[in-house]
Amino acid sequence: MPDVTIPGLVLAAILVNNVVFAQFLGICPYLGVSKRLDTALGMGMAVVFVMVMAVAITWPIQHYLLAPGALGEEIDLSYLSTIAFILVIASLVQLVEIVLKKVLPALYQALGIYLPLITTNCAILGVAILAHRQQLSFLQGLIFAAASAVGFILAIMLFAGLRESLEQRDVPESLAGAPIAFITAGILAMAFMGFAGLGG
Amino acid sequence: MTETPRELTVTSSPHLAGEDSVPRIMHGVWLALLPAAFAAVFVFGYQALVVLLLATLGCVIAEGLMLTLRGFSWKAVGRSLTDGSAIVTGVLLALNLPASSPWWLVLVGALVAMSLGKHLFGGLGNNPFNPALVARVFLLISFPTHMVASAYTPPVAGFGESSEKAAARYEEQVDARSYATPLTALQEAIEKSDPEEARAAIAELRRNYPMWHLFVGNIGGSLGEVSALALLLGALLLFWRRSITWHIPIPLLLAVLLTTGLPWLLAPDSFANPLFHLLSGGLLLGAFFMATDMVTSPVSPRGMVVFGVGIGVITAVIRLWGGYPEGISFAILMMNGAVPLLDKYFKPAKFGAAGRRT
Amino acid sequence: MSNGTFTGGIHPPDYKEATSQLAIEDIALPDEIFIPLSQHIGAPCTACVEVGADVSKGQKIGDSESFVSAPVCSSVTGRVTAIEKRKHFTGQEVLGVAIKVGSQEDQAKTNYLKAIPAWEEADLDELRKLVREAGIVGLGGAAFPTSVKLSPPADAPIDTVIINGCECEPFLTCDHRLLLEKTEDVIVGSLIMKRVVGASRVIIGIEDNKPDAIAHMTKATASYPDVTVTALHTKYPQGAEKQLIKATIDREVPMRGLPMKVGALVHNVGTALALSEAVRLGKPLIERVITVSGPGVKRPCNLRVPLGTPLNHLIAHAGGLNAAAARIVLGGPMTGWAQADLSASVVKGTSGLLALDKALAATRDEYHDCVRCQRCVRACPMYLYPNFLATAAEHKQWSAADKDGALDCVECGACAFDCPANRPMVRFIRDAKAAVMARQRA
Repeated sequence: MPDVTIPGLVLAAILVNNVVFAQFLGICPYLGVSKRLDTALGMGMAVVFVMVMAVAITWPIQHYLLAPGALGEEIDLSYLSTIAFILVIASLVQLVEIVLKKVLPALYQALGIYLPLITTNCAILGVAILAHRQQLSFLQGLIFAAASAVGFILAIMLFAGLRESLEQRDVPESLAGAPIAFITAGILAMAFMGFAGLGG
Repeated sequence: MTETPRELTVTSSPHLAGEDSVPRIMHGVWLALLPAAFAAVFVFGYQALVVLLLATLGCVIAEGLMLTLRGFSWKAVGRSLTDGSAIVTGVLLALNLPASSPWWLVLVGALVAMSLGKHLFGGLGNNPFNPALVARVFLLISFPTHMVASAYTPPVAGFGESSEKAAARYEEQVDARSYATPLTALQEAIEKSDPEEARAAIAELRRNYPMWHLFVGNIGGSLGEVSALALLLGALLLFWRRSITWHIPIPLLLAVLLTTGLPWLLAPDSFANPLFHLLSGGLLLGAFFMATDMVTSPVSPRGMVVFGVGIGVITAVIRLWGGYPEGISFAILMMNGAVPLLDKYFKPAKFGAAGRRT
Repeated sequence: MSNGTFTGGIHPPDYKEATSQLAIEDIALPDEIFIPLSQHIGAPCTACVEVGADVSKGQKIGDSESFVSAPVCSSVTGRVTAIEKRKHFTGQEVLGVAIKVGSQEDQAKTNYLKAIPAWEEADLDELRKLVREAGIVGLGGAAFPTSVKLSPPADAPIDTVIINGCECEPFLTCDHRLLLEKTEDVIVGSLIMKRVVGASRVIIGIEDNKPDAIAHMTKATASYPDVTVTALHTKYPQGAEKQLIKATIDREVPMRGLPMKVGALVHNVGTALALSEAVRLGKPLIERVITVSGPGVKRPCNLRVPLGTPLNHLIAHAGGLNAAAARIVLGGPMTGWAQADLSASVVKGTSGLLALDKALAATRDEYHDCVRCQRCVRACPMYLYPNFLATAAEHKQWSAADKDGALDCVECGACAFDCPANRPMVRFIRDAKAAVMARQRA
């Protein structure tokens, strides 16, 4: 197990290695659901839930099934981890969808197409894989997942706020909409590079 | 009894207007930057002047170019060019660059500031990020060697001066400048793996940069980092003209003092004194001139305080533990990004709203 | 002790020196007057006289069944020549009664109400009825029927009557002059209000740019233990009802609520005078004091004017317009109405007639995008985000404007005054209000 302090792990996951700004993971919900602040927050919450659950489920699978030597001296199933993780995460998202539809139909409506999108969200898969690549313990993995998701919320909330405000700005017609959103995202990512090397 | 009234204009109330205007504010800001510019020219010599002129001219030309590309009439272009906002960005950009900047670096910066930083969003009033800082961070990331080597000012021949003579003059003055900026020196000191060495380096730092020198400006760095005194003079002018209020700079500086002061109190040998942090680098420039940029800061008073504190804390964190010696430009850009949220969540309670009634 | 105030507001130059030392003058009667039948907030009146009828000064010529309304009375003795729609000061056409003014001798013929000299013992409902019959409305500008304000519901007891002597609008000095010249009437009027609503005290709030009025009123009220004079910080809009309550008794009226919610009743100085004259002399509201001023007027003055007098008659009395006049404003320069010509007539809520020159008259035709300078946020007495409201309205984002409180805007104009980008903030916000209200009705 690597020698990391919990605050270090959390700060690194939120700021330094922010899933969106530094790793460029989860770009599709980041761009797709950031038009309104409330849906952005809803999406962020969905990501928190799914991310933590994903790591909670994939960590034991990786550790007890797929890791080299987990099932026997000769067996190394680690080549299966990508496909296995996708499967597990996809079924998990189905579960979240069903629960949301029943419990919070308004949020379910607001998220629309984007909740199923988390199924194939690289941020979820990425964090699940990163958690075991960094050889984090189960608890560290969960914290890492939660912190990464908080990083995602931070990114998407900042971005959604900016995009809402862009609607009141005189953006040249040719750049209005998606183009200026990408430029804004780029400048935001640039600003977050200031955290590069933090704690390192 | 009746006289036929002449052409009467009918417009909506109010029928009076205050005297302040956008050009008046903008021209006031670059005027307030002049002391710092003079200090830079005084310390770095003619090279600083070249950077200042190049950046300002570059920004004005780039602004004209962008406005023309956006299809504005000549009249509108002329009005925008004379409103002073391009000059402000130009001078700010120059003050954020090292005197050793090659000419192309300055011009790229000017173009980035005016396009990416400003006109792609719709021009003055519409840009969410401070244009000069977008340019600085863009350059910092793209050309780190040119930007971080900010301290070293190689001897440059003045007009009608041989290069040998310039070198000699430089040697004479070398003790008045430093080869490294105080903050890069600090960064190196912190990064020493051996605690003993680090301690020694910090002690040396303290000898090399007496507080007084930091204050009046006998140090290396970007153009605008040299003289705290000159910056404070300019800031006073802005306060006096009511272009800025205390809501951003004061919480910002307090946050830096606190965040850098706490570790220093715990381990005075391994951390720099908070006053050192306050006076070095672009902190004062950022706090009084860039964080307070009205276009890119919150409009809610409480939001402004949070904005300032956020910038202060992030700056201090980057300085103390980050990979860059200076963090204020990153910090301001990040908080620029948070402005819509701050405006939304720190909205003042309306008159008579349940929450605020006493 | 520093003078009371509220947070926010602006400090425009007050331009009051032109008329503040000039005594109120009477004006010669015009040939014809036109009295609009709707001069107040509430239901419009229907005419109760016929064309060709002779009316005498003070006679009721229009009334309404509605509770929130006030009758209108003739301000002269003469003959009704027409009941028709004519241009109102708002620019819209409004139904009114045109009266040909009779001879000078005729004017002695009056048709006043029955006075109640013993008001201190009189029945409260009788007093209220008199106030209503006299057609008294708030004379500060909003013209809300006074009888309604004097009938608070039992569950909202009023303890303080506040007399608004702020006159925070630049140029205007009519209330200032009333405080100096009609002192006794103002005090008695406020005491009648106090008695009718059952309050325990009267506070007269005066901005500290009128030290002579403060000194004079303080001396005059010395013998009335329940009446105090409070000096207030000079700031616009100090005379706005809710801000005045905050400044004088430090209570904040709830959002979209009435002052009675915090036990306060605010009336203008002119209203107090009208009330006193109605109760003591039986004189209905048929005249008011108006400041005629501005660099475009040859001889600025304070005038006592019969209601219905056409504006050009006032200007003629003031020596006419000079070459500089570029804009005519009815009311104060911050909230008044620009006039396309001088054909409208004086109504109950008219406090001033100003002729501004080019240098003063702000045109906001050419404006810049908002630069987020935050001045309007600091100035807004209602603590809104005027910048966002205006920008949302500019982009026709009505629901955003609604969410940001477009309907809470009082249109005081402080934001537009301080805007360095010269944005027509009030016009934008009015657009938003109209759109939001239209959607609410739909």
